[in-house]
Amino acid sequence: MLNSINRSLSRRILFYFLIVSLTMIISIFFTFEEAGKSAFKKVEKQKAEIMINTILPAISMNLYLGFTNKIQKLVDNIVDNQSNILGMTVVGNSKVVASKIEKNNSKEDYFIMTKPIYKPNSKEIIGRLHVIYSYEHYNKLIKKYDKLLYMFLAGISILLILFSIYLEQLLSPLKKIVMKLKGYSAKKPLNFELKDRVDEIGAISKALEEMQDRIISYNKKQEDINKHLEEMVKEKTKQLKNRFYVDSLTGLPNRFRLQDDLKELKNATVVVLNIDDFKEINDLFGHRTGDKILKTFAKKLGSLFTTNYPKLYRLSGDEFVLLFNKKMSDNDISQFLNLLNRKIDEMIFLYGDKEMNLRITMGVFSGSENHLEKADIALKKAKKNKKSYEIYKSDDKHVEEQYKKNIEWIKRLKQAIEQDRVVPYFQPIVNVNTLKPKGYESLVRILDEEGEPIMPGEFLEIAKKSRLYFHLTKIMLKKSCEYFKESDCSFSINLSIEDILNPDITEYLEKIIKKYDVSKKIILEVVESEGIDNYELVSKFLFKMKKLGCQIAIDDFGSGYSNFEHILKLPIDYIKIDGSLVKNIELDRDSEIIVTAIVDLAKKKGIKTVSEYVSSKEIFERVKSLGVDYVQGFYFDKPRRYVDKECSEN
Amino acid sequence: MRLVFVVLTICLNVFGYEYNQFLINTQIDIYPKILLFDLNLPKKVTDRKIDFYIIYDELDKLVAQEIGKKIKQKHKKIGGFAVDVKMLNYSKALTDKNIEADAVYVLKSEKETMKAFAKKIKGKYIYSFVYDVTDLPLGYLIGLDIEKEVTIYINKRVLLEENFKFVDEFFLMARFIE
Amino acid sequence: MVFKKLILSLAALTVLNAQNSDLADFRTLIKDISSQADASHENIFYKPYIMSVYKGEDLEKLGISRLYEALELIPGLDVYSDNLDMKTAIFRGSNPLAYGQTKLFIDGVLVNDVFVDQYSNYLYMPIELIKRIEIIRGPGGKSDKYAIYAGAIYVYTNFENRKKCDCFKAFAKKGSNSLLSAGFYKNFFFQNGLKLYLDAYFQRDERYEKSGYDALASGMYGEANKKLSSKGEAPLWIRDYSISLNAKYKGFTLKSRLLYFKHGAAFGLSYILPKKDDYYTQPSKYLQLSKEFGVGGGSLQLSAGLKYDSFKYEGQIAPKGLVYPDIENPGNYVVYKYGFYGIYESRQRSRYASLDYNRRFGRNCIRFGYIYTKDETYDVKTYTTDRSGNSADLVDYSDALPFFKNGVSREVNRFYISDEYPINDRFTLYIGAGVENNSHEDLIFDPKISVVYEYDSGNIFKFLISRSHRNPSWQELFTINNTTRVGNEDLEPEKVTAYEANYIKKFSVDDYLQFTLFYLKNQNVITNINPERKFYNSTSQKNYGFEVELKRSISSSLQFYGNYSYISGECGCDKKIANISNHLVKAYLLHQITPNLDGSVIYYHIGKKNRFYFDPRKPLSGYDRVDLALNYSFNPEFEAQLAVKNLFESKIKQPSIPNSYLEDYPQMSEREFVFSLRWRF
Repeated sequence: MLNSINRSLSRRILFYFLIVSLTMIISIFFTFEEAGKSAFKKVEKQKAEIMINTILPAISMNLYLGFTNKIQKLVDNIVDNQSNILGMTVVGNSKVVASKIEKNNSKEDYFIMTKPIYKPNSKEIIGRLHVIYSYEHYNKLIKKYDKLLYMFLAGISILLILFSIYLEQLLSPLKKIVMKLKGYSAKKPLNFELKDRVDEIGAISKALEEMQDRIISYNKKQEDINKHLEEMVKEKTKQLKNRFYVDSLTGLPNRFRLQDDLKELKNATVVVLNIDDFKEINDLFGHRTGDKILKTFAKKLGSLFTTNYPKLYRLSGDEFVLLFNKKMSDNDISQFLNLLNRKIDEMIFLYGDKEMNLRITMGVFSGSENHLEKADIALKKAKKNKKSYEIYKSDDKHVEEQYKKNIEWIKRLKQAIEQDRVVPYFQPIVNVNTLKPKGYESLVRILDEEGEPIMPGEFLEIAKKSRLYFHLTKIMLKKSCEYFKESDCSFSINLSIEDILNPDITEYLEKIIKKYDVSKKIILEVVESEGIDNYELVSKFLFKMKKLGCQIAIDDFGSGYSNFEHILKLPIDYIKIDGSLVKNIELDRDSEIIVTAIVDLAKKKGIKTVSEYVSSKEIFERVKSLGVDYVQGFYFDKPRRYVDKECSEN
Repeated sequence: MRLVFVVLTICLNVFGYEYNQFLINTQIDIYPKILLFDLNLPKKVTDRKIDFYIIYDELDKLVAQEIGKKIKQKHKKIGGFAVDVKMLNYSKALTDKNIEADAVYVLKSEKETMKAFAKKIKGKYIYSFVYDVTDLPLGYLIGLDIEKEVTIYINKRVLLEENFKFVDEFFLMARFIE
Repeated sequence: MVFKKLILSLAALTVLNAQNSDLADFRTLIKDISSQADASHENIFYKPYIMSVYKGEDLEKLGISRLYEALELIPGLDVYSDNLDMKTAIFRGSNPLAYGQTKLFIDGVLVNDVFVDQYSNYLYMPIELIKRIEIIRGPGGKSDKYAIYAGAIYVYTNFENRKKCDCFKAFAKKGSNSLLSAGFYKNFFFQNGLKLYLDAYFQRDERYEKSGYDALASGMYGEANKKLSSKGEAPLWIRDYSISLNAKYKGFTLKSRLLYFKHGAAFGLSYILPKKDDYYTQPSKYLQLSKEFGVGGGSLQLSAGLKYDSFKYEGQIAPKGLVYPDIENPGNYVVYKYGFYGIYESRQRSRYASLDYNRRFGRNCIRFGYIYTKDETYDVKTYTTDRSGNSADLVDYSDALPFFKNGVSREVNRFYISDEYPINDRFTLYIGAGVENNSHEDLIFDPKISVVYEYDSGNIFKFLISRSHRNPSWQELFTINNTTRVGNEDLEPEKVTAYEANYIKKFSVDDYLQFTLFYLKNQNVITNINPERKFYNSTSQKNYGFEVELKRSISSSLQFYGNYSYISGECGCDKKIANISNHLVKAYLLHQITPNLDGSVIYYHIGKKNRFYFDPRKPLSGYDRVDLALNYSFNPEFEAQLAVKNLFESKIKQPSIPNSYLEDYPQMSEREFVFSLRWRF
């Protein structure tokens, strides 16, 4: 049975149609029987509910106002006019206020609904309403629907039978076509008789016949097409390659082309040209003008060379390259570059009605490998030396190494911060008379992987250039304050002008001083040699810190160019005389005069002086004789990580 | 100058009331219409004319005049009866022996005065409307306030004492105070 | 069918004197008035936001004559003026240097300008033309269309008059400082349903206040220039003209206004005292067209608008002898022996289109919409003294050294949705959210939720939590080549989260007590108080406090209104917030002397204001101000008023920023009089 169904499309359609129809009929039947009937019942109850809710406000209002007559009238009226409502009773204060029950029915035919009656706009119950509601309407409805359902089922069955007969007839021509196709061979074309029919069968036959014709011609064309496609792919690849190798703005070959070309040359000379201050042109006149100028420059430069070499490339932004296919002597290069420079000087670029010249800087390498990198190093050197060009020499390598070293140091600094290897070292500041330390200066050190300290000279400049410098300041502040919090020694911390101008640092400083309660011990050393440009802000900051109780020292005094008058207006407690003056004090008469002047000035102003770099007994004696109050230096002790926290003064 | 300030602050006892114009306009629109919903209105209005009194403190005279003018403009007839708007200040209203009013619209005054006036109209089947709904417990029938929506308040005690016969729909729109 | 019968049987019970149609009409009337009350916020106590509503006619009686004077009455609100006397409303200690934290709407049209995001030019609007002012404090406001940060002010003119009258009102004023002002409005109703509204006004005065030494003395421009500092009469005069035409016809609404506003250069664009005739202008004009449709049982409104505003400053920037870095040769200095003059102008336009739909779904009242706004600068002019210092000639630096970036623009797309749902008779829940996409951030989500609990009709509680943001203003983003302000295009929007609790006790239809607690968390607060004067998202801050408001008739004939606000706050660095008063008191008494004569007294106390933590100056001391007004109504149509302002001649000052003027900006120091006449028909 199943086999015969599978073999015939018409039977299969009919079979599944039957299954789907039967499922639908059964579902409809049960839905109507079960869900439908209970839904009707629910609807009837909801209807009753809505009816009651409609009359309830009026009943509650009249009950609340004590108008019982009105309620009775209302009840009478509703029971008389509503066939579904068989009776109603209103109970208020445990008494029946109004009631009417009209008909006696058997128990199955009605249900009773009870609702509380609330005082208007309140939750207080003032009575109850009982309603007898008839199922009569529901019963009638169900009977009607049952009848309709059976009629619907009978109709559907008849329709199914008629449909199956029609389907069998409709699909019989398909069988015929199938029989024919079974004997198909390419050499023996078939004749499709049904192709003249106007329906889908005719269309299938016609299509099959056309397909037969096309299969033959298709075979013939296949080879031609393959050939054509191959050519197209080649062409497209070429186009893509070109786009990859050409700079879109100037139309010149780009860096990729240059790299490929260099691979093919053993010896070559590479000139990297950079337009000076091109960024300013962009900023002043806008990128659109900048692009225009680049285009014109490329065109003008290109027109200078008509032979195969040198070839012109655009590297990026404002950088171009000239490539020679041979090694050249320095003399030749110089001659060529001087000529080129002159030509470029003569070039005039127009912006609106204004004329403009471009200046360029060039780096050259002539040799056999790493052309581009080396020419680039030469370019950087030329820029640094403010020369119009430089030729790469082998000793230029150290520039390259310096870059690498810087990057290495930044990495090391980051690691040191992460691994908590930034530590303060403390050097005593000694009273010249008692020769006992009054306090210490905190100096920043980084411990290397072995725990050995690294001097700030190695990393501080690099740290200042990167964002890590402020981290170092914060770490130093925290660790120093923490170290001396319970000590009676004073301690000083170096603050640069950058630190003072950074609100983040100043806020942090205040916070940390308060946290460790070291305001009376801390001395803020401001470096004078850096020059104080923003005098107003620095002054404000120092006065504020002074107010907190901090002491202020000016470090390296005598080395900078700041206005003494300004500096002395600051709330200074100490002046630390610049080490370069102290170091040479024995040999250099000028140094001695300056130190004497500083000490005198300080004394007049009531400021204490500290001499740094006291490395020998001789120096100590000399500065002592000049009247310095405190000394610091290797003669007394070198900076140490842990020091005695007891001091003589304070 | 300081003297002027001091005098002004001392003279507080004669200050007049600052009415909410929106609320007044709403009451002018609605109050007279409420009379339509009393089943006894034809019985009450024997002279085919509704005497609508506005009761005010002397200092509110301009406010009362404005209200009177607007009621006249807006409600020429109520339920087929002509409306006669009259002004009466509290001192006169309390001293006049008989007030021939069908309805009164009572503006703000001292609590005692308002209480006395409520007493005076008690038992005369006079529809009484108040400007301030919180004055209803003094013995007046109907108030109106702008809450989330326009809300009409009815004093249940006065309603039952005077035996007003409003239609159910009107009751359903209102709230009651006891 | 069944219900029809039921209703009929119910109706049959009442032998109706009144017709059924009367009842239906009555119901419609109540519904109409309820929706009018809703639209004009007569029922604010029951609404899910904290709002104060002031009626123009009530404020008139108090002698208040301009919009900003009315704002001074509001709890938690202080009106701040800067070095150009540009005024802004500071709600609950919001950042006074960031103007766009509050928004001003005139007849529903946002009028903050694009340049500074300020609305000072509209704050001089005469009170006589204002029907109603609604103020929402905090970001949990009713407007979903725009992100509201600290608060919003909605001003409605008599265009929205519900009365179908050809109402007319005119006024004229004369007062101290040669104040002269006049204006009118008129409503026209036509048979075919066309409604027109026209208003116009002008104001002028000659106010000057004595300033202290200017910023040159503080070293803002370096030591060398200190000696050039001067003090004297700061020009605070105004010239103000405006005309507006609004129309309504068959669902179409047109709103338009032209405003010309010119103001004395006050304390100088660069904090250096200007000449008496130096000035700046802030003209503004807008046009908005909208159409309302009934769609799917709800209401759909489509609007499109265009707004132009500009800022122009013309005057002396610095006096003769100024030494200033040479722009062309860095490291060198130029001496401007003829002084330094400047004309700076920047013109902006905003275009917007919006869609707004609201309808009820069962008990839910849903509103959603979308607004697209594009703001742009289309013209920047910079003429200054020759920067070489060799001549006094003005040179066009519009291309080389513009004071502001030209051609910049911003697009904002904002979607919003909200639902007001009465959970039961007592609880109403309101939830809403705005989602915004703009050039600063891809997606900003501003949600809000509030609950209103009516214990009964006289005791109402509200709880609100909301989040919102403020986009940086043009000034903060694009100012260039300037020493006192440096723009920063990387700024992110400021963000605020607000928690508010509110209790209302209604004593009677007019008397109430309102108590509000608030806690606001502001993030990414933008300021330029740093050595570079560059705008940064520099701190976060917390503001908290409470407001108490009492309106009470002490006896049947004694009216009192007063409010007290306590505001406190900290910025992220544990410092107290600068420039805000912790204590604000505002109170008035209204006095009807005879039926025709009434008087009023207003009292303001604005407490002392702290400085920035690094500013060594003493806090700006607080002040008390008393104003009086006497009104005489000749008849209901015509009245005269005499108002006395600052009766006791308090010295009223606004804080100057650190390192600028040594002293603060004086605003008012003498007793002033205004005499007004008003006609209405």
